[in-house]
Parts: sequence; C-alpha cells; structure tokens
Amino acid sequence: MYGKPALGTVLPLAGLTAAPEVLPGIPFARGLQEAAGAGFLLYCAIAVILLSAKMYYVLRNPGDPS
Amino acid sequence: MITEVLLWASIAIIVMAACYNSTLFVLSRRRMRHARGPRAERLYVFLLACLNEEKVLAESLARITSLPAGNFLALVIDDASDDRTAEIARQAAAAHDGRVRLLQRQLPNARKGKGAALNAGIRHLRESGILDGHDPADVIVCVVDADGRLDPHVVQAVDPYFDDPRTGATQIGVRMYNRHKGLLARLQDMEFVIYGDIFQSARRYFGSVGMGGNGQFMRLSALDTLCGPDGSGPWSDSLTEDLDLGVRLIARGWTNHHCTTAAVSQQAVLDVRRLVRQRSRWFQGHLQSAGLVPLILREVPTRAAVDLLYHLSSPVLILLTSLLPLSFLVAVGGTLLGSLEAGRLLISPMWVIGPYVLSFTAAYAYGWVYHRRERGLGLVRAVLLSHVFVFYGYIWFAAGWWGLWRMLTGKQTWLKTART
Repeated sequence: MYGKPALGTVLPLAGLTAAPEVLPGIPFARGLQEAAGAGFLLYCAIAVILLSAKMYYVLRNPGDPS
Repeated sequence: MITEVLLWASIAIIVMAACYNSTLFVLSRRRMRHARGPRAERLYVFLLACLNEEKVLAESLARITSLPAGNFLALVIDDASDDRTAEIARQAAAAHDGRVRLLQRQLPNARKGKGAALNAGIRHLRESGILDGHDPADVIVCVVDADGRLDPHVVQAVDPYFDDPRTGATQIGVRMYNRHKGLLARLQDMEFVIYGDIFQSARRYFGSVGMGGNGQFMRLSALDTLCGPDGSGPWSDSLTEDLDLGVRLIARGWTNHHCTTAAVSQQAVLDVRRLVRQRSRWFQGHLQSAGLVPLILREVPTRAAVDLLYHLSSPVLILLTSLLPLSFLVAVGGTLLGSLEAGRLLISPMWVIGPYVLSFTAAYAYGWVYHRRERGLGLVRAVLLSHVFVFYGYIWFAAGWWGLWRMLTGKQTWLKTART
C-alpha cells in the first residue's frame, strides 16, 4: 500500500528532564503509545499463527510451490 | 513492567517498518535478469472502463491510437455515462477504423463497479469475434484509466516480459501528468514513483509484484485461469479489484512483473478532501482483501506469501501507527506548557535529533530516487520535498480511520474520483 512511507514517527517521552507525570497530557500520550504497542503485540500473535499455518501447508505438500 | 513492554512494542512497529523499507530499497537497486522464451507477434487490447469521462477520454484515445505498435485496438466500455463519453468514443472509432471500439452498457446492468465493467469488456471481446484466430497466450489485455496517458514506447517496453511464458501480468510505472500544478499533485507523483521504483521493483525478488489498475498488462490466457466455472469474469467486485487480481494471478502460478522503463500518466487529485476520500476507498478495498489470506496460505510460494501477508496487513499497521504522531503531539504540547510554567526548557534541544532521525531518514532515500526520475527538480529540492512527503503520508491516517468506519458501518458504495 502507498502509505508505507508514512510509517515513521517518534518516541516523545525520551529526553525529558522532568518527571513525565507532572506534565499535562503526558499520561494521555503514554496511553496512546501503549495502545499502539498492545495492538502491535496482537498483530504479532496473529502473524505467528498465519506463518505457522503457511508452514503447515509447506510441510504437508513438499512438492507444491506453497 | 507491562507499560514498559507496551511502549517498546510501539517502537517495534517503527523498527519493523524501517527494516522492511530499507531492505526493499536495497533490493530495488539491484538489476534483475528476465527469462526469455520465443518471440511472438502479439495483439494488444486496451480496455478503458468509463463512467462520465468526457473531460479526459479524447486525449487518452489519441495517445493510444498514435502508439507506434503494429497490432492493437482499444475497447471503450461505457458504463452508462450521462455525458458525451460514448459520443467521443464513437468519433474516435470513426476516425480510426478498427482501432477503437465501443461497448455501451445499459442500466440496470451497468454501474456495478470497475471489475464488472472490465469483465463485460472481456466477454464482449470473445463474443464479438475480435479475438478469433488469436491464441489467448498471445493476446495482451491492458487496463488503462480513462485519464491514462501511456508512454509512446509502452508496448515495446512491456512486450519482452511476455516472451517468458510464465509471465501473467506486467505493471508499468504510474506518474501524474499535472504534477506541476501545485504541491499536492507533486507529492502524489512522488508517491507513485517511490512506490514503483522502490517497493514494486523490490517485490520482483519476492515474486509478489502487485497490480495497480492503471497501466496493467495481462496475458489473456492468464486471465482465463481466473474465470469461475459459473462464467464469472477474472475481476472481482472488490473496491481494489487490481490488488485482488494480482494476488490471484500469483496464486495460479503466474509471475507478475514491474516494468520501470515505461509509465502511464494520470490526473492527480488537486483537493485534499477528495484525495482523502480516494485513499479511504483504497483503504477499505485493502481491508476487504483480507479475504485473500486463506488463498495466499494455501497456494502462494512462501517468500511471496510472507510479503503479501505483510502487504495486506499494512492497513492494520497504518491504524496503529496513527496513534504515535498523536501521542507525540500531545507530549510535545504538554512539555512546552510545562516548560512555560517552569520557566525553563524541560527537554534538551538535542532531543529533536532523535525524532528527526526516526521520521526523516527515509526522506533522503526517497528524495534521491525521485530525483533520478525528475532530473529537472535538483537533488536538494527533491530531498526537501521528500521531507514534506513524510507529512503527506499522514493523509493515510485520516483515510484509514474513515475507511475503517465505512467498513464497520457496512457502507460499500463510493463515488468515483471526479476529473477536472
């Protein structure tokens, strides 16, 4: 998909000289990032299942292109 | 502990995408040898599915009929247009006897989507006898959008790919002919050049080259293998019927190619709102393509399958990634407010280096690739432009959430992108 170049953004919480909790909005920002991380872990789990299914087809039909 | 894991997982999205993009960039720079078979005289059939295309059709047909190729014809499939589309096609047919033909579809059978129109075109080619005496293996069908302007040498560039009997389809590059009309048009041109010259070129090594719907050349015998036993045509009714068809060709054992030496130029969208709507339609179609996953697992060779699965899952990654710039904006805003209250800057100025490297490193590669296609632009300007291009990519975030909303609410109909 053409949106691949958009996949690049930043980690905002590094480099702070104050405790993040005292700054307005930081807990919300952290929550958004955690949501993205949780979604990605789910994505990885589904990817592992799909790749396992692919391996199953490859092993079951060794002569086939799959 | 869980918080830490989730934060690192969010960073892993960026790392994974960066690794994938870097790998494809390196692969795209390598030359690839093509297998060759016996040369053959081929018939090229250009299919133009048209719904109210009076503003652009005449120019596209003029381009096609002036191609320096021997054996070709254009079939205009008028999908019950309200405007002068059919009349323009008739005039072109009269002026170029035998080179241009018209198929007029009528309501209620018309306006069922681009795939249905193209299927009707293939059916018409067979029933009208146009293809009599031609071996389907030597008939090349090309889908061109009504606003598509093919490079004059396109047939000469594409034809050698079909010398290999395993070649099912070849996609050419896509450019914007109105790219000089403002920044938005220029960025769309850059987007298609980068997609073709990096991603599509590299995917030749995986065997997972995709089809793009415009400038898409396919062997008729390959399309025949996609027809259903019920007489259904090769195209599906998906919103991204091109993506769908490309994957199904690979699953049938055909090889898809990407040709970098010829292109079709189309009209860029000049309005942000219409652009987001167009991309939402593509995004929704991409989500629909999740239905191809079982076919990919069963039928597609492993390397191509892994890449296609990643490709088909990119809408999910886009939605997840969209949370990160939002998080960044909130955090930066909060930090600035906190700095104002504290009377001192709470982050080191050097901190900006990290976000810059993570966000804009790719811009240098993209700028260089675009500069090679657009020499008049200059390398420095191309690199600066590609910095803007990174932000332009965020259009996909809005388009993605809109497309997801439409899918969840069961909305399937879309207005086509209007020409100007």
